[in-house]
Amino acid sequence: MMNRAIRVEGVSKRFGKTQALAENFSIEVLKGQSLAILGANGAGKTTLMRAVLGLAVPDTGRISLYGLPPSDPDSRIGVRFLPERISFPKWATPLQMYRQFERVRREGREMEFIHRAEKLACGDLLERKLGKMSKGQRQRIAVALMTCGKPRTVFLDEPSSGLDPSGRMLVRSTVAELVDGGSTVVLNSHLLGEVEKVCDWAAFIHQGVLVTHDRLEDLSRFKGNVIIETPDPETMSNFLGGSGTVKGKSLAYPLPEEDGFAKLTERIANSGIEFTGIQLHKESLEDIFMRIMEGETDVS
Amino acid sequence: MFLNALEHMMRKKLILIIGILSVCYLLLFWRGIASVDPQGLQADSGIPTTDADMAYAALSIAGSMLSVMVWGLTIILGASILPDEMEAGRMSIWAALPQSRFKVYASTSLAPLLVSVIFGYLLFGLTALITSFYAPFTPTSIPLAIVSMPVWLSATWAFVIFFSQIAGKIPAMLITFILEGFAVGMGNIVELAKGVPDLHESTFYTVARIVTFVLPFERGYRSVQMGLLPEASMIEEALAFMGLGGALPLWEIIYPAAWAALLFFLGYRLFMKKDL
Repeated sequence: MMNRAIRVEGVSKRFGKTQALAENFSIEVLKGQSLAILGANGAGKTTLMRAVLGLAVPDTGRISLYGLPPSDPDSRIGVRFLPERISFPKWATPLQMYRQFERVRREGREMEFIHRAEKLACGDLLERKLGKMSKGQRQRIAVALMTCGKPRTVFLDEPSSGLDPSGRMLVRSTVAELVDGGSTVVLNSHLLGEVEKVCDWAAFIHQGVLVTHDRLEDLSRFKGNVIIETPDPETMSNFLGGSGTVKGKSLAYPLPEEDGFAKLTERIANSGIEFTGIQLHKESLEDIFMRIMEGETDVS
Repeated sequence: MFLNALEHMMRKKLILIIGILSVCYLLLFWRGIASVDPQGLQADSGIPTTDADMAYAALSIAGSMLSVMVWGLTIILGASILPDEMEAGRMSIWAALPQSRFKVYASTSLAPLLVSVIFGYLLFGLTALITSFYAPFTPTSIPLAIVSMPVWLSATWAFVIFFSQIAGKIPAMLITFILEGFAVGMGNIVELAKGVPDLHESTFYTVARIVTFVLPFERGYRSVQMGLLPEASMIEEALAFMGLGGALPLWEIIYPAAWAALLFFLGYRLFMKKDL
């Protein structure tokens, strides 16, 4: 398939007695997708990334990156990888590191890196030695190094690690920018709130097994009520028969079946009561994560 | 990638320390040889001493010391980039770039060899040059010395690289140091046997010969030494008993290079199978 960026087919990987990826692990990622790889610690998320990049050699199965095996250097043209723990040489400045990377990848211009660093609020650190930076500063530089220009695919393993809230926000907007620009993004992060904002797809891995892989909106289940935003929730509650829970300027109205949503919307629209929004209350990514990790695998 | 590896290495304080030590050595050597009075030597020993003899003595003595310095340097530098990058966790970043694993392996391991060979040329070359100021001489074969230098050092380097893939940086350095010391000792026995024919019959000689084949660290060094030593020296035979002279057949010079190539390849096979 020409539209495929990553294909993992029947792969398994074992480290000593630990089965990092179980037998017949298979997944596909299409070009331009933003995929979150989710799972508990030790689930095999990092191993999957490393196997796709050719850094971990699978025991069985086949992997292709843009139709080429990871052993082919051309498969990694335009591909960037930010590992979870990145250790820079202390003597190097960010610009020197960028030039070292570019000697090999020859993909971008220095200005692109400088712009990215500025967006990540670390543009003033480019001439400073990495050994004299804080962990958070180094992480921002690492993100800038791996996301500058127009990469085809970016693998980010815990990119917000060690960052303060503003840094996390900047990383999130960087990832969103990459997705908007058409890059394929594979993100491994435990910050589910952030993942939810930038990724369209999610793959849940549990003990090396792919539990589910789907669009986030399809994974999210209906939670049994509808949230109606209205300046007058009490009136709305009375109109709907006195049921529902008022919370500030919203009313959580129980709806037994998701199918009844269209009818309810029509009824509210014809009621003459002012309202600003109405939406199905669905699971957050955190809810989905907890449900799946607690052993429930039937999410389709 | 090769340039990156060179840049990483040149930034290490180790290179600066080695540079300072080398300059100190050269200055001391210069001062030492400048203070020698050939007439005084002749008067003391009662043997006519030529410039070639003086150069022979100076280069032989300095050569033993230099060999230890350059060996040590090769071992330390050999273990400084490839194993260092792996232990620092940076190898995954290099290997994730659009380049083959062979390129990553070759670049990070060949850069230290290049620096060691350059240091070797500088140290031996400047020592010979300083010597020639005070005791003008004609080297036996400069091309032999030039060719033998990378052959000699590549054997040491390949062992470090190979063992670093099995045991890690520090064990690789220690193992190579120990094997090297053992091999040099055995190599001296082999050279000594040239002047003691009875020794050829002994089991000890056989063992020493086998060791020099399995661990061919010092064959190249002897050729470097041989190429630099002056022609027509009267003390050449006397020094041969100290294991410092004598010609080597060509295959003994080429053989360590073949060994190095094999170990380099085996190291690559191990590197290919590694999870970075």
